[in-house]
Amino acid sequence: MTTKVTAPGKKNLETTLEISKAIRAYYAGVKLAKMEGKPVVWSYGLVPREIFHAAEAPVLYLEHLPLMIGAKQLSGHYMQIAEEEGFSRDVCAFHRCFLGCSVAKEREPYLDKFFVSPDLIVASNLPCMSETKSFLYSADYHDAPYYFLDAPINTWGKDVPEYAIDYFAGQLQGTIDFMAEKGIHVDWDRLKEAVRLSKKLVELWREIDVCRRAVPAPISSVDGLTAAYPLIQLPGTQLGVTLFERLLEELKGKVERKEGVLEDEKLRLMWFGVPPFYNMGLLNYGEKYGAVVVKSMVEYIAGGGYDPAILDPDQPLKSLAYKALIDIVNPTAENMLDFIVDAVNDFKVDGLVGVVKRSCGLLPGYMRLAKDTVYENTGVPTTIFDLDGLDIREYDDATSKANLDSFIEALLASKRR
Amino acid sequence: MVTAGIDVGSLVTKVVLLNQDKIMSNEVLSTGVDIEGASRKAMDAALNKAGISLKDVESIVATGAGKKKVPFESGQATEVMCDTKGALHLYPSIGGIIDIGGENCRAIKCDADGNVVDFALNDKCASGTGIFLDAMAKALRVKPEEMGELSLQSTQDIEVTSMCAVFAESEVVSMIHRKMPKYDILKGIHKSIASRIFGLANRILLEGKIIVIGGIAKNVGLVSILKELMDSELVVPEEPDIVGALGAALLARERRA
Amino acid sequence: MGSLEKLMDIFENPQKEIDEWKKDGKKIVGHRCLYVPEEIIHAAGMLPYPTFGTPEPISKADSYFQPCACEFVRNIFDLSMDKKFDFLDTMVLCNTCDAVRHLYNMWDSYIDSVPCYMVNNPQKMYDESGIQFYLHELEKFKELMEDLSGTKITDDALKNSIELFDETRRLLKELNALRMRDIPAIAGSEFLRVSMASMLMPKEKANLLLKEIIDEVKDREIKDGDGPRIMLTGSVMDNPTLIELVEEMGGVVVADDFCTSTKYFWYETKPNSNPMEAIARFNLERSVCGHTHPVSNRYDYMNELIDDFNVDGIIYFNIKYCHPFVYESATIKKQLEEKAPVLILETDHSLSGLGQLKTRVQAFIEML
Repeated sequence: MTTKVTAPGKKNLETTLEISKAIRAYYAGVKLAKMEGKPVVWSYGLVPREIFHAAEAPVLYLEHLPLMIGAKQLSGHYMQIAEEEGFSRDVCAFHRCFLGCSVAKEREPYLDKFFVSPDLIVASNLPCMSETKSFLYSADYHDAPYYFLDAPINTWGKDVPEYAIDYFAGQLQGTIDFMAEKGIHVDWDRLKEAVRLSKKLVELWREIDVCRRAVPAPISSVDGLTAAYPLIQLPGTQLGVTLFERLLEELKGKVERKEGVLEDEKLRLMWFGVPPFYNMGLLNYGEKYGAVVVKSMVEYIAGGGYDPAILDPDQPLKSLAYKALIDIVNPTAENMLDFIVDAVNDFKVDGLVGVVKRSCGLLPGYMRLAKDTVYENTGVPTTIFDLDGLDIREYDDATSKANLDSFIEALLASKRR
Repeated sequence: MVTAGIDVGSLVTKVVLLNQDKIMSNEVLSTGVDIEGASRKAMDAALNKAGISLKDVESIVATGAGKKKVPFESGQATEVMCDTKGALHLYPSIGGIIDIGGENCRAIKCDADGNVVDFALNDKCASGTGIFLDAMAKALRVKPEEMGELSLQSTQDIEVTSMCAVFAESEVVSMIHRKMPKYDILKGIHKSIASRIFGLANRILLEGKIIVIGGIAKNVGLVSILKELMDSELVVPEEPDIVGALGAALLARERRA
Repeated sequence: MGSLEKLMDIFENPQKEIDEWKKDGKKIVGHRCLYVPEEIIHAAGMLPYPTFGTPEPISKADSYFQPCACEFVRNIFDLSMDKKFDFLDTMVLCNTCDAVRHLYNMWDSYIDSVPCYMVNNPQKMYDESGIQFYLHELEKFKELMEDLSGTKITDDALKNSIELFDETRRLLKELNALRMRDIPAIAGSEFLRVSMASMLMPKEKANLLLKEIIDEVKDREIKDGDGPRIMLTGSVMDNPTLIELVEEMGGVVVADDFCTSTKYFWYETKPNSNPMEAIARFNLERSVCGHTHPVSNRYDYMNELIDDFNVDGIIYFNIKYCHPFVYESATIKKQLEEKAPVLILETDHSLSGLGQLKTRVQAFIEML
């Protein structure tokens, strides 16, 4: 009894609409740059964006393009193309989708607005180890040179040793040298400035985060996920900072006026795993029961989880290396689990919704640990179910909603006690 | 007060009519493709048996995969809630419930007061459920309802290692070709499903007295292996398939009160 | 009993080797993946023990890992939950795939009986800064092994261990070379058993047996050894079922590029006055596993195998959700097909759906 009923998510902020515009403008700029003959970079993973911004390099991100066409429900078609090229359905849906876009003979007009072929590729194994290899296929196909930025797994928690930072900083220097060979030059002073702006951005994000803790929640994670775009893709730019300043102002107003997503908020949920980009309405689904998804873990990838004080504009490469290595998604689990427990406490979360994307080698691995750790530390329960955030062909509306129904019902019953 | 519960499963639809907390009648029939028709048919049959008509029923709660398509319901509830209500009605103190149905399998954990504290629903992969067993029965040319009994005659252990229904089917076919004894293959199949269910139960650390319900709970072969695997007391009610519908009927009464 | 039989027996019953070693109170350090530096463990007077899986179905691990985690890793975790690895004094993992990274998280959190450690190796090979990073990690690992064994690891001990393990690699390679012949002297299914048994037992003993085996089989010709020459490659292969299936279908498995066989012994340690650096370079200048970058070295290595063993067809074996191989398979297929036809088999670790595989393998061999 598989039914496919999808709905877009409901947004509550003016600034998130502005951010959506900024995203479109960014990619229009990439397209324009290509037409003007500037070299275009394809990148994947937590390669610090500050480096690209300091070089004013036009970049197409593997994890972002599928998300945008996923929201238009076009991702399945391109995944199909990748599967026909010989890629297993075990390959990450984002990679399959991007590969399909990469080798497609024809592209939908909507995709064509964003798609540009690469002149060079920079990929990292942070956070997913094997996934970078899918880029080799594209590198062959487009005859684009490829730089691999190797990040060691974080086995140290927050005390990353100097030799690990040096190794990653060296890789960053390697990236800069590689780009220079292709005519993309990182200006050192601009890089320092980018790190300063990046620091400012995270400071603002932290303030935004504090606002979002308010009861009732001023925004849901549907807004939060769009709002995370500057954090993930625009660190090191004035635009990112400006957008966050506006976002903060708008949020503060909402909190002062006690405007919540729901007037009568009964439950606060946190989403763990990739949300369904083709059906963001599922994040609003619980609202009919008074349940708001107040936070989503993926909003905190690429910088949401650390103290901005670690960024020192005078040591740009080391700062960026440290920021990358302590990211919550750089396994092992320590930083991720600390982050989730804190978030559950700070946001007064009643329940954790863990969704498993079968083609993901990274996030599903945390599920059981997250569930147990959160329960032991806070008493908050977790529900876990299968849901592929990008591949609509895998989506099972009935089962997803059955899980949410049962979970919310049990949470409400326990609240009444 | 007369209330009803209707549990529209993917394969079987169940109805329970309740007068206060006494079961007046029940009906179990296959759902087929016409959910609306099947639910009417099952309700009519139960009403007939009880000698009453639909207007005598004060409240009807629908549950199960097809709950949204029941035309005469006065409310809906999740399967997790209904299973728990039903099981608690039959057994006042339980640690949890395992419900094995046609397409779904779930494990529910309850606290001392009978509140749901955790649950796990199976992923959409069919192994570990009735449909998988039916496919295996077909491959082995036995009746699905006889599989459990037959598997008890097994004399040696065979492992069916594939968890994926598709792989498992080809594994079983190759066992048949190798002329392995039918009873042993059956036991192997049951073992593979049981370990799957065990995994689901383990996910939520199910313990204590566990009520096994759903149509497949009637399969003695499966339950006996589950008993071996789980370090818990497993109880199968007399009519395990109607527990969800019973819970729905109890909920209908509760909501009315 | 001949030496070949002896090793085959050890493959079937490794417990005897374990008991023998532990008799005098000596310690065993378990590990998973090729890039754990066994020589450092040995130099501390302990037995490095590669943990292999079993074809048994998975039960307990499924409550910890999601079903989309590599089945091999779930199998290893299942065995550890069942206390099958409790004979180990510690478990060592390395940084080779996300599933192993999560195995580390899980082991660290849920298995109390055996502590777990991760040696952090770079994914990028042939990179001087990577070697510097790795040397720091190896030093820490060395200290851990010293603490565990209560033995100071000297440079001389390390050099001896390197020589001993290289000797095993040389002997395995020599035995393996007998498969280059028009009619191989040893069958693929025999060889995998020999190779795996040599990996898990004390090398001092393995080397003696390997020398005897080479003598024993060097004049042999295996039965039906003139069929299509097949190379197997891909995910970890810890039981000979698939090789036997190929042999049964008339294929002659002349080469097997697995971490339980050729990947383990193809390269030797290069001479270096600093033994730690020798070990670091050995591991980071050997692009045999699917996780390594750059891939060009890996292609070179595989092409070398295809040429040396005169391969007619390649079967690429991919355990479901085994990411290092699933991501490279489409790219590498294109490369390898320039040399020989490639069949990609995606299946579960226990190889249980053999019926299905059979038809595809048969058709492939007939095509050759």
